[in-house]
Amino acid sequence: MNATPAIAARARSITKSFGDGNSRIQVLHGVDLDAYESEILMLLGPSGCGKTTLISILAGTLTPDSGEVNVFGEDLHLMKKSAITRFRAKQIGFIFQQFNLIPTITCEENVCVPLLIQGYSLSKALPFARKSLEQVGLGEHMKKRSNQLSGGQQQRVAIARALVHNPRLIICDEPTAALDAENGKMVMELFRDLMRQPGRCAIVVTHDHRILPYSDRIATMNDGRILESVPTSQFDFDHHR
Amino acid sequence: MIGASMFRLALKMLFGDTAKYLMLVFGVMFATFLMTQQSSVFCGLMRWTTAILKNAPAPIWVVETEVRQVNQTIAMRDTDLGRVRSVSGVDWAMPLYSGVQNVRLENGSLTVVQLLGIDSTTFAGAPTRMIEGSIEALRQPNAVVVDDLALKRLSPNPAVPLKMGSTFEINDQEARIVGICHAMRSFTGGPFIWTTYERALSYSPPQRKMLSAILVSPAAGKSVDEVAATIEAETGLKAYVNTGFKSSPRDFNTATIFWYVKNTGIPISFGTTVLVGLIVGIAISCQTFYLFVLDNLKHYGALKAMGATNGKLCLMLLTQVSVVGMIGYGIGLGFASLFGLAAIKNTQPPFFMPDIIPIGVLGVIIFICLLASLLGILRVSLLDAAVVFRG
Repeated sequence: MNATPAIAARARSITKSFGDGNSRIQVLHGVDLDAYESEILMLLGPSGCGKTTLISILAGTLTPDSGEVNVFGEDLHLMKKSAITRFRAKQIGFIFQQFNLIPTITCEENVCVPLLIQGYSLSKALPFARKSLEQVGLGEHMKKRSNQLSGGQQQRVAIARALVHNPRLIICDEPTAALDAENGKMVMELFRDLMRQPGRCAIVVTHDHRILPYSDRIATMNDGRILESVPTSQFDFDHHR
Repeated sequence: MIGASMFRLALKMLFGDTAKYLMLVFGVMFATFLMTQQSSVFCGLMRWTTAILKNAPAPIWVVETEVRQVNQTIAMRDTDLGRVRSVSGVDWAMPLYSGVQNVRLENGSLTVVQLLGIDSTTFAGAPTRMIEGSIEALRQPNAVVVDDLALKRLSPNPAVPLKMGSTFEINDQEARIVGICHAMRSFTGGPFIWTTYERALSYSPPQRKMLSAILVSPAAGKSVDEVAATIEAETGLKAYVNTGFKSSPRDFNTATIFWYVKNTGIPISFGTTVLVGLIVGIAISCQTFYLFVLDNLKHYGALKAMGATNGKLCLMLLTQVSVVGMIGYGIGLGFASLFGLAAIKNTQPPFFMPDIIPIGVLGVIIFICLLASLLGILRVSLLDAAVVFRG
């Protein structure tokens, strides 16, 4: 009998709106979502359905209007902003759609950034960054600036950066949106390999149906609500095509 | 607290954007140069207004009651000299003639000079730095001592400057060079010529009263301020001390400089240029740094999302702006100093950079940098970390 995996991130009755008065837009309507340890959860849904808002709340970069957010046992909705910032620095890794690498520094220095934010010196951070770059297959490019690399390579640097401080939750926003099919596939294979570690959880927001098979579970969203959250093996690909 | 590595990261972000970095440095450098150079030229010009006080040094200058600055000459009666000498606390008191006179060059052209007539016995008011000859030679007929500027200015051919023994005419009377000295340039730009008091009177158009000033030294144990006050009280004349700018409420240097500040457009002219430097510095630095921050906003947003606090990001911005400020300030001050060295070597334009100028300009540059960083800090502090997820 399989043991139920521990919950990595839990959202309960999350509401969020933007704007005031007549221009107020309700983006999330009482969203419930669970993400489990050792899984890749993909959030699927049309533009404007609230995916990005939801992962921003789960990552602690946005405060919900109401509801509860718990990430690895920490109640983010009860924590002060400064505590959330510290929590984010240690426990969360980010992969952005546009990579967000600093173009004026080298790849290894870019990968060092999460450690520098935690107070590591560059000399102490560099060995971790190099190891992380080796893991994503960019060992020979670590001295290059990010703008000297291809889009796929830049996203791999971003993955190395997201993992260098060994966070437990990885928040991934449209990781293949800026990549062609071949590079997207390569990045997702690498991503899947690196994510499969005990206790680690990745939440991926995507429009790209081609990467859905790399997930363990898929949650679909529409109009600020979770429509379903099912294991990938039970997901009706034909229906969502 | 921000670590040294975050400082390095901030600087790499700054230096990596070469165009904006150079523009920022240029803005600060330009502001520093303009403010330092113009302030120093202004101070130099103001210093030139007191050149007579430096070139005819005496602890106390007694002048006519209405005289407000040293270049203003209202002649006194010869008997005033005796009255001053009779004041208790006066060690010695000597006459001084000071006036602008015409010199006719060999080719017939005229040029103006500052003629100083000093006592032929004591030589009170004589130049302090002789290059050639001696002041005692003034006792010879038609003898004058000139400053080094006069050698070129009074020569019909500047390529062949005058030398010891050369002659020229002051108001159609012969003058012969028996000594050459260093002197501070006069405000009018003309060279200084020293001769005896009696000969100076003969060189000048006759007037009923010819005594320009009385140079006084206090007796041992008496302060200059005390003796000057006694002279004023007992003679009704005006007694200034010559002890250096702002050293005393009755200092002649201070009175002279403040007179020019109040009664001429010089401070407004220079002040306007300094203000332009300040405004250009603020405009270029603030605008460019804000653009730099806007360009890097997504990176600051990413850093914020990854756990960088507002405090860390603000310190990164302050690091960037401080480094730009110090580099720009250093280069600007260096250029202003080079300008100053060239000016001093060439003896013009006037240039004098007291400590307060670089310190004051540094203060202004720090203000500009803080203002420039403030805009960026506000922008980054208000930046929502979630912005990085919005494409």
